[in-house]
Amino acid sequence: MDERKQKQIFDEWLSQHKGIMFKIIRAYAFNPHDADDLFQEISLQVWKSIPEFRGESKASTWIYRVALYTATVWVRKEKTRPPTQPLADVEHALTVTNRQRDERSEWLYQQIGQLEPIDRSVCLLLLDGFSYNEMADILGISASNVGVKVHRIKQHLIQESKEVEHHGL
Amino acid sequence: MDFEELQVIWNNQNNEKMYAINESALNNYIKKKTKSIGGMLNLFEFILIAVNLFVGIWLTIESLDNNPLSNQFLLAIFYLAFAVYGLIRKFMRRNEERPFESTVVGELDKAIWRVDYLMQQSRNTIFWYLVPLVLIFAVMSVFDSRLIWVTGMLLVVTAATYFAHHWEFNKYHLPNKRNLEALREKLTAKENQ
Repeated sequence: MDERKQKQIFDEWLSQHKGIMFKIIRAYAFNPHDADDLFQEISLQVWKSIPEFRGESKASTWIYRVALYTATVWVRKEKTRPPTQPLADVEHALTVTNRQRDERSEWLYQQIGQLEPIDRSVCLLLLDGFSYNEMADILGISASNVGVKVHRIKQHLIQESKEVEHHGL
Repeated sequence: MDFEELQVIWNNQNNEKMYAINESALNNYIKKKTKSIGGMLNLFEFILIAVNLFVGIWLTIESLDNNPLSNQFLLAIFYLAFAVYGLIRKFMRRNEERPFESTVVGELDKAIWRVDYLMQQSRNTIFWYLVPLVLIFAVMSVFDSRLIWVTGMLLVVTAATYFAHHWEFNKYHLPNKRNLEALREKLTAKENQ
């Protein structure tokens, strides 16, 4: 595949499916510097995956898989990396636009962010309406295993929501 | 709150504008990275193959002009064999990468395989390239004492490469591999709940 065609597909994907990337970034990166770093990493991996895309799945499913894998590995690497100071003069590929977000969605993202990286993937897929079979296909595990994880995550989220409910959520 | 209510919160946030993309900065980053990663690996493989091929052909011509049964001819065969080996490995790598599933587990398997491949390549270069080269020069220096210093130099380079390989493996590749294996284990583990 020539680079022009790859760029054309990448631009299309970015314009149509950037929402997927944003949700994953918000669930895995908790400050603007990390969000920018993760966005660049996900974009790079999506770009590199384009020649392998055979159209056997929807582009959105493909991007979800690549982005989830990248974020999961990124978050593990970040834990072991010494903290670095963001450079002021570096050109950022991603900037936070809305700091006044809905309180309830902010809380939900916080809860997702507290899950194990693998469980965050399952949780995002669940909330975005993927079926157990589709989740199993994206993750590469059995549907029954997905079911067990989903059950545990749901229980956890419901439990947490009950605890904050009387604080006026 | 039940899960359906959480789902409503989630569905509502789908319309929130979260970030803005600087496309020019993103394109610059991708260009820089794709050139540095893929380009470096291919360039390294290409240089290794080209150098071995060039030296092998040059030594073959030299030895045919002088004495076809000379030490030079032995070296020529060695260099040509390594160039062919490099080419075969390059194509094998491309073919071997294909069977991985297009899933998150498949991506993890591919990444683990790549770490193993990298380390295997590094080991192979030491044991099937540098060590035989030292041995060939050691044998040649028995007949030509001027080659002793070359043998000594190669021995030092081989030892240094061996220790660098071990350091790199323990410092970077082993922790990275363990990380990936732990993620895979976490993802595929059956939960008894």
